Amino acid sequence: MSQDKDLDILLDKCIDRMNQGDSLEDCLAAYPEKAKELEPLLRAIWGVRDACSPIPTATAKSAMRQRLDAALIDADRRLRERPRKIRPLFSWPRVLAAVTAILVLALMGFGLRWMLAPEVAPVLAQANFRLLLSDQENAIGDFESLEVTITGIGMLRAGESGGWEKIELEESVVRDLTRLQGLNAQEIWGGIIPEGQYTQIFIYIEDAIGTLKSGETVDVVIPSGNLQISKPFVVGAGESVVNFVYDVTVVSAGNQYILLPQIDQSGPEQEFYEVGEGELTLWVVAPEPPTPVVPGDNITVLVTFQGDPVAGAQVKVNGLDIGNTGGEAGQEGRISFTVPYDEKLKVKAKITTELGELEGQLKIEFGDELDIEIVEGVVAPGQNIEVQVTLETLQGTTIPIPGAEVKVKGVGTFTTDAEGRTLPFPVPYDDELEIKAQKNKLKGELEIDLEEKFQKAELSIQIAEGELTPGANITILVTFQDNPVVGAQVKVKGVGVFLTNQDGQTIPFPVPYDDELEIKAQKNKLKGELEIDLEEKFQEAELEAESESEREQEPPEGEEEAEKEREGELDLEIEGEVAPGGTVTLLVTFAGEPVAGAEVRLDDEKIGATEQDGTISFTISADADELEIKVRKDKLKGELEFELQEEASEEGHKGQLENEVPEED
Amino acid sequence: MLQVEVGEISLTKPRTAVTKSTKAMIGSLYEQYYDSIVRYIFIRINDQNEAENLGGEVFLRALQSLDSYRGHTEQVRGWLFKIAHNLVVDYLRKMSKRKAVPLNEVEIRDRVSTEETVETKLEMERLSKALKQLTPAQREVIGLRFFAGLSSAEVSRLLGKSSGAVREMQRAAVETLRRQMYAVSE
Repeated sequence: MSQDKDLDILLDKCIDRMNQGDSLEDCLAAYPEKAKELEPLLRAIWGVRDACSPIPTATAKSAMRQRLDAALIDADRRLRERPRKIRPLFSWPRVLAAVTAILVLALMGFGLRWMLAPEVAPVLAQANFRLLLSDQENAIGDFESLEVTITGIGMLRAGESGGWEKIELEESVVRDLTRLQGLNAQEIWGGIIPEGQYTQIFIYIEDAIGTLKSGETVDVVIPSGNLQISKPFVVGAGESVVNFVYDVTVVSAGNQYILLPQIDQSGPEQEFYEVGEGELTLWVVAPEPPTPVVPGDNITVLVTFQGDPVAGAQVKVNGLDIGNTGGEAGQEGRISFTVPYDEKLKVKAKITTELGELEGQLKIEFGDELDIEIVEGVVAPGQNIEVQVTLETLQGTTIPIPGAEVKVKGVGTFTTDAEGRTLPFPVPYDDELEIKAQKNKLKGELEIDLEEKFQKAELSIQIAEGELTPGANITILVTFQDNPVVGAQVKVKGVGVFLTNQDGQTIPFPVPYDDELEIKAQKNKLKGELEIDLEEKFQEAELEAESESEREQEPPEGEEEAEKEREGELDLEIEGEVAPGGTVTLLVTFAGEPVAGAEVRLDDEKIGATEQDGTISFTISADADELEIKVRKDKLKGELEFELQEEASEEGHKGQLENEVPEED
Repeated sequence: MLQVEVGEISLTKPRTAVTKSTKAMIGSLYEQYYDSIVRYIFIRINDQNEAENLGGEVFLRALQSLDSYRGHTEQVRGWLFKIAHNLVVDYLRKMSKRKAVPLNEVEIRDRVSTEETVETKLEMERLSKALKQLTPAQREVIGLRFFAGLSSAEVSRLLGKSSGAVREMQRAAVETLRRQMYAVSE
């Protein structure tokens, strides 16, 4: 994710926080790693909001409110001038009771003005009319379903100001009487009616169509097309709701069924169970409150309907079917399961009963932001660390998240254990440590700016093995904070490029023939450099050798052998009469090629330099009893030493690099 | 502040009177949302007086449209801002046919302190100038996010853009406002 997108997202989150009332400081504290970038932007937002705070002026707001109030009064007046629709009323039939259905009229005495249409009030809390349907045994037992279509209701108000109050339903209400047996009742209408005493209630029925259990469809007869009950009730000035239960019944008469009111079961004081939307209620019964429910918990949920446990309800948890609620004693309506590690717990229960399909759900939000914390190790490239993934729920409980997938950029992917922890993994050699964790919809991210943390950090380069002698093999060790760096790229000027192994070392390589050894190492963003002045070292080495020669010290045991093993690049070859007074020619070569201009000394006295063909001729002193030849070309040297005999050998002598002492002929 | 506690508003048949509850609801919606609607409109059109007028118009339109409104309480805010948005679009369309509108003449009529009024006025002027540097789309995003209180996901749905594009637009707008409003102090 780019830095820009990061900032976009954080800014967006901050604006959400601001909209929820968080302060600027709260926002910055929530994202300390980006606080520096966020602060000027958030201050600008606060600035805009502050600048807008005088808008609107109180004067303008007041004026606009007056305009609105005037418009309300005007609208009211115009609406009241519209003509009302009135349907004819029907007479009340005399019927026999066999099957009962209950219609409930809920009359709320708020003392408000009578309104013609129930839906006129958008605030349903103040609606004033309800119709409910209930079912009882009798001839209703013959039916698979019996749907009654209701189009309106009417109520006769007593007294001088009385008269018919009629409510025409915009959409017909259909109720199945088979669902409303016994005490069950279902609302038909709810709303506000004028205070006063009422003596009669009409229900206008368009039709009643039944399906018998035999499968046959029948039209149930409604005498005069409506049902009427003369049962007085009063709507008072208080705020109590009058629930008028309208009880109807279906009777069998010959070869037909007739729908009739059941006056003795009707009235404002009847007991009933309201059949609403058929909603089940879900309760967490274990753990008991106030213990919060968190992911990973084993919990028990109880499913009830109208207060009774519901056995056999199908239960889904976060969309997955987990089985049905229990039916055995003590477990009735209960089901236990483990709360999944997700951003929410959504439990849905469903059951199909004679009342139809009942559903209910329970939802607990946990939040979806995982926290990632480094619990072991030091955040340094190459160092092993362990992280722990946790979730702080919206209820304030922090829990470890097992099984979370943890992706470490440039390193790999890990899975957290039961404690929410990963295995140890190395911090990458990069400018940032980016860790992302995910478990289902839970996500978290941790970014640590390593570049800033290790801005001045460098790789360390050391000579692990070998001596700094041109042509000699050496091995380089690359470390960071005393830890070997694996896979570092090591560039040796004039030699080549190597990669460090598990021990942070290169393979052996020869020291170049140069005046300095320049080594650069790099591992991602971390770099290191080593420069050694070889010229200086050679001079020191030469002086040491010379000093040793002067002291005529024998080389330590084994050193001569070791030196003999070295392959020199300057060769000295002498031809001629190697004897006092004899003339010889010295040939100096380097890698088989003659070396011109090499300085030649006899017994520490310079006698000249080699010619273009690498040779130099000279005469050995007549009184010399030994001959020491030293040759030097830049940093390379060669030396030959002879003990002279009276009869010099005719054969040539060969020598090699400095300090090499050839065997005598 | 009054809160409208409404379960569901569903007007399925023509009203035959303006009820007491309807009046109460419109009144409380006005108290709850008028300020933020005016600020939203101001951000869009950069004219305080017009913003205050159009803000009032939003509620008159809402009253007229109550019959056709169906939705839940939490959607009422979105509905009102939708009306505000439409009014702004109409207004801008009309204004585009006229000459360029001068910068807002800021009225600070309710402040007591003269010093504060001057400071507020200057701040408003800075904001007005800064707003001119924003694109219409950026203004809309800022208005919807800062004053309508919509989430970026809601704004993205409203504008038909991706959430990422909305966030990007939002930051660009804030950066511009910051540069324009606080250029001196930087």
